[in-house]
Amino acid sequence: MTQTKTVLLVDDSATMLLSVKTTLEMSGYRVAVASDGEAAMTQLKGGMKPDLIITDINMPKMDGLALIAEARKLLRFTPILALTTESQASKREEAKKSGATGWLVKPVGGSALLDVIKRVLPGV
Amino acid sequence: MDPRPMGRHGPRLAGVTLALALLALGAGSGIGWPHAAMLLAGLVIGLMLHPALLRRLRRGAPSEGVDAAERVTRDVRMLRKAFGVLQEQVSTTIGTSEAAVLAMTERIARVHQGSHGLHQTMLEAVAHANHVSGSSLAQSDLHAQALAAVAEHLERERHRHDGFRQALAEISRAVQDLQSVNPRTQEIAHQAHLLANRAAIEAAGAGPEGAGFKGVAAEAHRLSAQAAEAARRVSDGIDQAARSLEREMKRPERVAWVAPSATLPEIARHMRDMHATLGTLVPYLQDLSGRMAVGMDEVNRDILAALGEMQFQDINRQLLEQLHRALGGLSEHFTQLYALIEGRAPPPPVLLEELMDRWQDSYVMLSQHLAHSRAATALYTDGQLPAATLAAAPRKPEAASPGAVAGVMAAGAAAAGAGAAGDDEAALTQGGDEHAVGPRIELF
Repeated sequence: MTQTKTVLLVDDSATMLLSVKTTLEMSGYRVAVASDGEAAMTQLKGGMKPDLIITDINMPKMDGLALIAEARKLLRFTPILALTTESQASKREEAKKSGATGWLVKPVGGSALLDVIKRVLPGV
Repeated sequence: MDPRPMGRHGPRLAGVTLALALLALGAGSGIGWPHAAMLLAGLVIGLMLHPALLRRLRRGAPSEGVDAAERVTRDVRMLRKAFGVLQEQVSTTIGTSEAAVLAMTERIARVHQGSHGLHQTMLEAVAHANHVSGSSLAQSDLHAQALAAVAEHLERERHRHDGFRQALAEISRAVQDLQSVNPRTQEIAHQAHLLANRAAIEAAGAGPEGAGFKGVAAEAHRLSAQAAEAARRVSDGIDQAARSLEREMKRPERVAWVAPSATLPEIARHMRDMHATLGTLVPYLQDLSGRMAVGMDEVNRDILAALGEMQFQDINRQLLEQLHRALGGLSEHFTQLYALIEGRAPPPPVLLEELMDRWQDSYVMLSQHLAHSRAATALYTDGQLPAATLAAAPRKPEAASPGAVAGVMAAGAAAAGAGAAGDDEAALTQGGDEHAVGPRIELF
């Protein structure tokens, strides 16, 4: 990796945040975390420009689908991955229409997650 | 006994209550804590319902009791299914936990083995490095000794050379002193020649008496010529010697690199040994580096996999949250039912069946739907609790694998193909459910 990429990780589960954050940091990424969509939007509106957003779908305050739609208004080209237990096809479709780049069903192994990130992040 | 409809349903309700307790007993027949929980819940609800029903049977029921009795009957019948569903959900949760913990344990064991292997490799490398450095130090010590001997020898040679140059300088000075004598010698020879000439003239003037003197003069003349010649040759020799000395003195200082005959071969041998050591060390380090990289890669992969398997906690959290909500709803429903039986409140707003539909609506994971479907299918087909189909997860340690958690989450269908879960999928499809087995990773 030529340049450290920043990932905004959004999940209401502390375990998920720890698991994915550690995985990404072990691979050289810088990771910022938020525990729900609202907190993530606060960071984005504050000027944060992550290279990638990974978000859960079912979260309190603002769910992942709303976050994807709102974040897409601010960051037109930033890849956004949904990482969720959600299996409802309509939500997957909604995420796609809102501008999500991909949909990953938990649990996702570290190597598989890193492979997906390499595919969606240019220059990695 | 009051002949009103509630009275007709009384025995049936009592029987159902008893069946509920028996059902709970049957479900709790010694498998594990989820069954024990079911038993406890069954007994509690049975105990809650039973006295109330008896009281209602004794004193009769209100006119609206017909609907109430039927409602209670339907809900109690449905309760069996509800417990089955909850039991499946609990089993799924347990299976997920168990599979994840087993997989993580396996990963941790692999990480331990990998780390141990790397540690052993490092120990070998340290031992080898100690050996090499010890050998190198010994050789360096020998080199130092040999070089010290060479330096001492050179110092001696330099000292001797300085003495030689000093002696040359002294000789040069002595030769130069001799050159100052040479003109005087030549002068003496010249004077002797003039004297011989005069003696010859005087001998000629003396006539016959001077004949002997004439012979002496001639001899003196010959000797003076020989003296002059000798003086010239001496002068030439001195001059040549002085020039040679001067040239030698003007030469740059040179040190004779004549080392002791035994030292240089020894140093050369040491150098060859050093070269051989380095020759083996480089490939050894390359091999070591490669082995360390492979070992670290394996350890990293296992750590990443273990981190992925940690996600089961989030999955189980959601499963348990749903169970918590379902049990809360069930408790509230039966509280309302209890109040209905006592005639203190209207019927619950929904039937238990509808409540269970709401559970389904709240599911986010395919595994929840599959568990629900398994329970419903088992109940509808053979009338038995799905005790034999409790866990979609592998329950034995040897069945756990790194992919086990994913397999459990997809209830076997997504990860392991359409094997045992095929019927579940069919049930979902028949139900028109939009939760389908989609790709676990999809890029749009």
